[in-house]
Amino acid sequence: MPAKILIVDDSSTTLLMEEMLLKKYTNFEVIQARNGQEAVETALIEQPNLILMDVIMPKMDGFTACREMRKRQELRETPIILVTSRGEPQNVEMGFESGCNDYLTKPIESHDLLQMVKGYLGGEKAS
Amino acid sequence: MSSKTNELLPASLLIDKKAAASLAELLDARSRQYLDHCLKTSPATERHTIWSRLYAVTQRLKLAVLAGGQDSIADAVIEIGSNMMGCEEMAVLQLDTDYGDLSILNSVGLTALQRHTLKSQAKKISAEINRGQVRIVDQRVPGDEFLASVGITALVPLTQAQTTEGAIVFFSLLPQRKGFDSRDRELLGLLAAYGPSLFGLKESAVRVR
Repeated sequence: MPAKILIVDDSSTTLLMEEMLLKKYTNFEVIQARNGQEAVETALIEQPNLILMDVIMPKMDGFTACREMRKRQELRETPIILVTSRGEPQNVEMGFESGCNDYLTKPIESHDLLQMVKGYLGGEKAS
Repeated sequence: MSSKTNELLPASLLIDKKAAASLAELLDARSRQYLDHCLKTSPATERHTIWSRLYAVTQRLKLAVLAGGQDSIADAVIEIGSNMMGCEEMAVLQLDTDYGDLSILNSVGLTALQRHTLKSQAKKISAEINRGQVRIVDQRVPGDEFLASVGITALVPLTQAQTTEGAIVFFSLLPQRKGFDSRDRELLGLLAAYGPSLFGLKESAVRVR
């Protein structure tokens, strides 16, 4: 069964780019959520192998969602990469304090995203 | 939509609906071209990132056209600026060509000073917009001094049939970005190419599905 990645963002543009990159260049299954609350609910049901999550989102932000996920036994070890426009050091610090494993700043670079994901899950797509 | 429902709509709405549908098709075709280019390019290259962003942006604009309403299109443009260019201080402006006045159709993150500048410097900013060129502002470049002095970092005129009806203006970029660069230029060019069609659609064109 292919690894599953949950991508979380309230920006459709970001989701479109991430989904395209992950589907075309990896064998991973991609699922989506539009805010932190939906991300926590989806992650509990779907048990993804990796989560790529924005920070500034409606309903529940990425930091809070990250903390909520770390409280759940099922998601305690799931790698979480925060993908955000907030690249200031204090925000990066807050991200790590909330329990994320890595941090990627927007605008996304194809190579950076794919390298980071493969760093956690491995797996080039067979051509 | 069934033909029976279409018959119930006024002819003008049918024409507008067609315009929206054909613009969506055009964006989709363009998007597929970008995806093709992307797949022929190594993800390790800067060029790949540019194609990927252009793909996502054209898809996003298509969704906005299909979703309906100029607000939806303006929201999409703001979202693209924020997520694909790292600019969270921007505005979509409408130009009043008779009076050299500007009105803000949609904006994000503008400070009170930036709003004031757009109002108090409307005539001068309108004149810059009316040059009809996509601009990445560089204060060292002759001719860019005024825009740089009011904090505008990039400008996309919305020109149709040689008439400039509005613009997208960008102010400060997020701290991780030193300035707009060549990767942004193609995105800005894309907004300039499709912006007039997007904002030129009558309200009914993008509301009727």
